[in-house]
Amino acid sequence: MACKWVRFAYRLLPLPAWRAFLLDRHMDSCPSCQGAALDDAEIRSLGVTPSGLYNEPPLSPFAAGLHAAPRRSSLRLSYAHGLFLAAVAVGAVIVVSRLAPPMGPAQGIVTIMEDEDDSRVFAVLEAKISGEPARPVVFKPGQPGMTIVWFEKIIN
Amino acid sequence: MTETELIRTAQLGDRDAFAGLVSCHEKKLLALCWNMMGDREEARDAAQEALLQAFQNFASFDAGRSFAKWLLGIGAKRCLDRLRKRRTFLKYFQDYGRERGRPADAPAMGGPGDGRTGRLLQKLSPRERAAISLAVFEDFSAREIAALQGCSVNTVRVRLFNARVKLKKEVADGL
Repeated sequence: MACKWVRFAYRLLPLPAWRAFLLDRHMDSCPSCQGAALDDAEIRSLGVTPSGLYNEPPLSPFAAGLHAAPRRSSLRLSYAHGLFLAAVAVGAVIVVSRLAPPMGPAQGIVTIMEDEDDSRVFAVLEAKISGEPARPVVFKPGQPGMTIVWFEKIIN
Repeated sequence: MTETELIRTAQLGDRDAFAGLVSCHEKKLLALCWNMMGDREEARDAAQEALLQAFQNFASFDAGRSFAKWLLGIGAKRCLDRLRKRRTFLKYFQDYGRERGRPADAPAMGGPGDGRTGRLLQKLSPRERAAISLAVFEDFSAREIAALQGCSVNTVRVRLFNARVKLKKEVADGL
């Protein structure tokens, strides 16, 4: 009966070290508990031992290794490559954003000549945006007394 | 050339030295995998994977340790991985068979598993089988197995005891 309790306790997890020590001592010395478990010699007879494999063809460590090892290293390389490209891209974005002129309303010069007699008649003499010639666009939305004129930068 | 010299030479990238090192221990590795997998072909595949992994990680091997135990540890882990995948695979096919109204048969074991004795080891859980294979066949201590399986020494002791009791019962039932 005591042995049953010991075996039950032995299966409890986790065991404090002192209890495990006591149970180990019991297991090592108790004929009943030892009898309940198969000994090493009997277990060895159930399995395969290296000496029983003398007929087995040898394993070839490099048969797979020669092909698989570079694959792994190339995978590592591709990771490194990807990281490097990502770093370059981020760096390029930062540099370009610092070098590029700040975005904002374009500064332009417009010279308009109005007809002295009729204010509806005018001529655009010169239009420049950031010092470059700009194209004027005149738009009459159909409402009386309204003419919209804007200028587009000419991009070659 | 001694094993220490082979290790040193192999760590410098000499493949012949690594092959020489492996040839001393490959039967042990194969036997361990066979006992764990219960099937010759799966054991050879697992052993081959273990050799490949050992080769790829050999630069990080601590020459002060036992090469055999390091290699067998890798082999045991490969086998546990394969057994986990096999369990998932079997579960899938058993579920599939149940849905179709007939249970799917488990794949037949080969090699030493052909005999009754080989099948007895397969009655153990994968972790129990790993523990008993390493402890009984390869003389690993409970502490070494615990480090390998990522559990406490007590857990390993209990696994070993449970495995021994189960095997005793199976042997007694078979008589």
